[in-house]
Amino acid sequence: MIKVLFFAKLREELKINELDVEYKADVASIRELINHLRQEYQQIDNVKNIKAAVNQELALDWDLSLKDGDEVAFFPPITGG
Amino acid sequence: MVRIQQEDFDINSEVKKIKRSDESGVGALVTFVGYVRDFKEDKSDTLTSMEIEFYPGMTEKALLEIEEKARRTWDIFDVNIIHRFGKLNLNDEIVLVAVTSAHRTESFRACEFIIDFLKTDAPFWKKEIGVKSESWVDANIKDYEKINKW
Repeated sequence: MIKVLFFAKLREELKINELDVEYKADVASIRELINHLRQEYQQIDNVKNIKAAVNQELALDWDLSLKDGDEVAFFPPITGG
Repeated sequence: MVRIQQEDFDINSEVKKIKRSDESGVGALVTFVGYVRDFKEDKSDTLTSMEIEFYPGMTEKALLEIEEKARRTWDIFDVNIIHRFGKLNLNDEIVLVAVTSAHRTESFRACEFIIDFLKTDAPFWKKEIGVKSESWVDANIKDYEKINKW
């Protein structure tokens, strides 16, 4: 399983905090994972410049391979401070 | 030291945590405090409060990494970073960065470095609550330009 988390505007648009996605050969990168999620949650496209983190590290390369058990978070650009 | 908390903080007591009266080597202390201000783009609305969300686990790690980078770059003694979350009112304190060193240059540089990277690398998100509407704050391109100088 891949644990998927959503934050801020993305969490509100999707009306979900987190979900588990089965780890499969065609859901093995960040890009494939978000495309898979987009089938059910088209509202993903309401949020611009989505960022991703894998196991709580910011992931700039969306073609990075995922492993079974990874935690992947999607969120809008950071606006703290 | 890094803390993420809902409650307010007292600047004086937070500063004393890194500048004790029995320490004789500290020659400089620099603090940055960020406040909730009314910067809603819709000028016909007035900001009443703000909600701050973070990513438990990742946000603490990101802040510690920023502190570590500052410690590796400048000769500083101690760092105290506090960021609040949840509902904050207009004029409330949001964030504190305090740094001590022997000389002022290191503290000034490290403090600015930490707040600059906090704004781009530590996962916090702000939502502005106005009288008429509420909206998530958009990322500020200037914040990303600022980190290029480091």
